[in-house]
Amino acid sequence: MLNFLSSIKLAVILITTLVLASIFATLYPALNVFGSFWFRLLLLLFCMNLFVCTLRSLPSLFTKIRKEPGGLSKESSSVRIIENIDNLSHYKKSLLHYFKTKRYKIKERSSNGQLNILAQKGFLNLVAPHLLHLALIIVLLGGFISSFSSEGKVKVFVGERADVPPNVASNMVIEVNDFQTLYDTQGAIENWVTDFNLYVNGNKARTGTTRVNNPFKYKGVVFYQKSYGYNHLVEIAGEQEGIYRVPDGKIFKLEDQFFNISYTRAGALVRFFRGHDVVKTQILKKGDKIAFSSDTYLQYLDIHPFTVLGVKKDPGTKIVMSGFLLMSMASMFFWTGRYKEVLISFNDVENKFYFTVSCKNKAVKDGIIEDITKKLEVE
Amino acid sequence: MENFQTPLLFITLLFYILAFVVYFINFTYTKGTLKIHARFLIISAFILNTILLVIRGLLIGGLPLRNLFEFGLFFVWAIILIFLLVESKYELSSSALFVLPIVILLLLFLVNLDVSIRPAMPALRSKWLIVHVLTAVISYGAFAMSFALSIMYLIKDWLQEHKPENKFIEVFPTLEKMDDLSYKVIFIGMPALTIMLVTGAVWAEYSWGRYWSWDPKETWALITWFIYSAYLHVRLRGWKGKKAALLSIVGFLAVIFTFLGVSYLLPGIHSYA
Repeated sequence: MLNFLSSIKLAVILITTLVLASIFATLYPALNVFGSFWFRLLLLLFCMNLFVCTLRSLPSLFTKIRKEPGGLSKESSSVRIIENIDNLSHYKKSLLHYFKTKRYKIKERSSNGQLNILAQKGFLNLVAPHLLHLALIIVLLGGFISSFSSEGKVKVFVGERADVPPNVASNMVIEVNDFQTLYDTQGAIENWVTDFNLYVNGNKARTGTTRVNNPFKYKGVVFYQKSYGYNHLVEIAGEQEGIYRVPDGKIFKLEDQFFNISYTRAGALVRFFRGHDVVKTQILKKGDKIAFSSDTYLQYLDIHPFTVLGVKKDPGTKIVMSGFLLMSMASMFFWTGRYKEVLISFNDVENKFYFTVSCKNKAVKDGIIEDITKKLEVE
Repeated sequence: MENFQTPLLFITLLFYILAFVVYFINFTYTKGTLKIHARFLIISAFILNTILLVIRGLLIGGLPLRNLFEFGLFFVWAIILIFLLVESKYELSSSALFVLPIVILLLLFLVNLDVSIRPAMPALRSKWLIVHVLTAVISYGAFAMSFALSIMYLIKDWLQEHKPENKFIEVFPTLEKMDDLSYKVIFIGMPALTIMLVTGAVWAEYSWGRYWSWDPKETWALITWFIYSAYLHVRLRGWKGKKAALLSIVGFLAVIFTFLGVSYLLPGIHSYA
């Protein structure tokens, strides 16, 4: 059972099933495959497979890392024997120098009149797959914890307060001081920024700023810039007298005229419509008036922006991020070159030495063997 | 400079087409005598491709990785870069016959896209974009190379069995060499794909407030990652040759679907890519 649970066969079966399920899910998003019980069960199985596989491979990994130089078995087919060397001690030095310049980790042990040398390189590459598996387990674990996260949105007008959704944080209130659209030197929108105060249990806890790509964090609660909008404060004189807060872009009727007001950098743009056609436009600044008839007019008082912040409390995020960090490290370790191991036994009495080279990359392995034998020719 | 883009794109395409034609003639009608000319053409096309990217970069004031056109241009560039590196190290010029059609088809698609410069939306103004998209380009380039080698593998395998006198059997490298190189380039591409997924998720956490949304683009990137993971694992169980080549082809089809299919058929929050 344990063998099957840690097997590559199961890994491949699970990966294939996850691939098919994911394809199906993107084709039929309404079915919510990713939120289904069976998909989560698949992920759990995948996680178990990774865990058992990693756990079982760790002892051999540590054995390899902590390996000590030992005598080589002459009978082994991978062992090469070089005999009748003129100057064995000089050759020994030369080989050690070669491994040092190639940045191998060298261990030396003497036993039974033999000097055994173990030269190893590429530990990072050796560790990489195990680290990647471990990282994936951490990410999946974090993802599982994230499924208990809570999130919501809060819409606040500048100068006003609003409660943070209680499922995210209780007794937390946001007071927005300012909301700005930032523009770059070419006049394109660079970002949206909200400045706000945070109150917890009625006391001011922090002042913060949030913008796209730069959320604000407070004790595990994260605030994201999600959306924004404008209302326009206008005063109307005449039959519908009063001060109104007009949503940006919404069409109104006054004295048989249809119009809307939209925010532009130049000011509030008023558009008058006949049917779907715009028949007249006008930019209004603070205090400007538009007369609709002799006794009806609209005076533009001020713009009233609002911001929409995403609010989230997710204890799984930090775990997932640590998993991601490990995944990135493991990925880079894969590029550091294959693990190579050279085991040499020098026998001064018999004037010969034995060596064996281990590396999964055949070309690299052949290269090392060639280098070692070439050294002999040079000597 | 903005007006130079389209003509330069067509000239680059023309050079890649010419390079393909010369490579084809070189391997079909001559005995390798035109190889140097073909190499000159492909390097020229690559230089033009690079100039186009530099112009685009100067126009937008950063790395041109912000939309489908810019990504596609970088994708083509990466495919050729990896081809040139592999070709120079392993003498694999015949793979140009399979790499260049991918490049030409991609460029034929790109010439139909809008090349005008538009300001980047705030979410794209992030340092994460560079690592995220550059690693995507590297991995996709490597997978394209592996795809070409896998197709070559299957063709040679078929020719050896059914048409042993066919001259392409001699032209193509040995089956073992193609299989091994296909595996090696996937080994370069896979870590890059992993970093692409990770940086995308971290960026999404900062930008959208959610590191994973099961958006079609990210789901298909994950599907691609799963397929190549399966490839690497089944090789440990001895899957080599034909089976591995088929899996590599499936992987690249997933790459293409992630790049193009998702953008047009399964829109999501990656609307700009």
